[in-house]
Amino acid sequence: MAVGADPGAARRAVFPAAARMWARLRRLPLLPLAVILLTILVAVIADQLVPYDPERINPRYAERPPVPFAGGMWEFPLGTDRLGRDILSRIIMGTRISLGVAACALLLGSLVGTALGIVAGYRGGWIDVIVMRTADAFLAFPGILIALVLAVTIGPSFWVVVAVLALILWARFARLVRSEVISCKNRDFVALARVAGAGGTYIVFHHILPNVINSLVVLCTLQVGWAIIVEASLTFLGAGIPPPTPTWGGMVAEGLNYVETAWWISLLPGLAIMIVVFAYNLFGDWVRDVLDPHLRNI
Amino acid sequence: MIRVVFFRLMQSLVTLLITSVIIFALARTSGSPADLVLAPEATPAERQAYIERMGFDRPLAYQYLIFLKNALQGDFGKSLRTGQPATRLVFERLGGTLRLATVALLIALAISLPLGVVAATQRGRTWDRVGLGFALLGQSVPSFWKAIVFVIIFGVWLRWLPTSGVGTWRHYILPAVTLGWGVSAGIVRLLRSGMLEVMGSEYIKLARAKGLRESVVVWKHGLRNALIPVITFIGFMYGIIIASGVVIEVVFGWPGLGLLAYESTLWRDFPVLQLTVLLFTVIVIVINFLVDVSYGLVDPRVRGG
Repeated sequence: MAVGADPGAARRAVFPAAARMWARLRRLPLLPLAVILLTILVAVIADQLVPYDPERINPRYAERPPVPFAGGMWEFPLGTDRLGRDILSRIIMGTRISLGVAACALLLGSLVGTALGIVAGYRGGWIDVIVMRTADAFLAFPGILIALVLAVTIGPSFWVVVAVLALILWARFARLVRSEVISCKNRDFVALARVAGAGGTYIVFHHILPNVINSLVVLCTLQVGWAIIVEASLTFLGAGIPPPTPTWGGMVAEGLNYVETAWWISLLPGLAIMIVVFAYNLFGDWVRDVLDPHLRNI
Repeated sequence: MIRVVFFRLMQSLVTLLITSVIIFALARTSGSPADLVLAPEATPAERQAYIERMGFDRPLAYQYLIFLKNALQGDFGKSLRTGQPATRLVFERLGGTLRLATVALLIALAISLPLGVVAATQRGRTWDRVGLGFALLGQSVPSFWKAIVFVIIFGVWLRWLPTSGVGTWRHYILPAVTLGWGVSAGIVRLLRSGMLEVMGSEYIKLARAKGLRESVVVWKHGLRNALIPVITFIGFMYGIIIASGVVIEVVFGWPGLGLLAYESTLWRDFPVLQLTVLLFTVIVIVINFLVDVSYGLVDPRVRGG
């Protein structure tokens, strides 16, 4: 068969890697990606977007249901809460908190975890033992309870939540990175670099880190949803971001005692959490399949 | 095998020791632990006596040793709210949490084992989608919200089930199903990928070539081997169940450790809260130890060490 008969075949033969990449890109989950980009945008410009001040109390319009229901009004499309605050505005502002906490915690946790994981995996010996046992201790810790303790000792705040999430996240990152480092530090290219006279720091940054980065990205995307859920749970328990700051978890908690009459106060912010976490999990699955299929179990 | 058990036991003890350091450190994040453990109306003299007894005026290492000594003797102070020893309050609630967690785990297994196996054997077809969708939903919906939706549907609208408290077996259904769903998500995914791997292996081909019925091949030869990763996961899951149970216990008013931790936070009852956290972590560490050891029993390859 002449090569020119099917130009696509020739192209695939020359760039098999590129062809495979394209095949995967075509399966890009568009809807989740759209949700993710939209929520990031909303979080960034939340100030300009909100129709009302999300903390303004307005007893005259308290407990209005969303528009399609009897008593709903277009001024408050998603209804109002017990104090007459606009739920749409509060959900928009809550996006910023949820994504902000997740981003800060992931940044902190992944930096610390990666650094410790590389040191533990690369150096081995007693450093490895100490780092990994400490990671085990942190993984055994119920994060929600640490947050409750800190809420009593130093009081709940944005940074306490970030710290609690990072305290758990670093251990996950350290575990993953350590195992990846161990599996690649005995490979030939590292040995060759060492023969060529490269120092430990150089090897780590130029030979090992690039091999770990894919797994890092995968773990990061897969943990965003987890971070959002834990932040919401903490705030729900009163150990997260204190009121009156509008947060999704806090809004659900505020409506808890009124689910029989004013179900929308609890239900709508919960729906927001669900949609966003759904999107991140679907997107994370896709990123994992593209970058690092052998991580299927994390 | 004994060597493996001994090694794991040592590992668990080291983890436990690190845990105690962390809890010790947590109590000091507020400045003075005396403020946390003594009632607000304590006189300066009482305060001073307590500080001297606990060694809060001595170096940190010395304080830690005292903390460890008291902990080993089971002395965790008294509840600021009731004045009873913290240990008594906490152990009263332990059973409630363990019962709920166990029922939840059984429900999770009852749902996820068949779903995971069917999803793998019908890859890409309807049941696979149902299984993965179920798993994704369980992972993406925060448990407190699931709980509220269940309360609205089954408690408020249909009035089928009680929505808070304990008593009959009916009280278990809503909290245990809510809790179990979140966990079964992980099991379904793990089992599905495990089954896919196992079903492509040589001994499955052999079993089929022998002329065994497909159901025997799948449920006996396949599932038995795909279960190994699930077993390690169960230990991990039990920890998650207990921890995410805090939220569930609060929503459903379930008298367990989680609700106790929540109430202690509201009352700023630090001694009780501290012991609850310690007990939670000890449970997780013990379960992980048991799982590691039983893993050796199930998978002969681990036994050599």
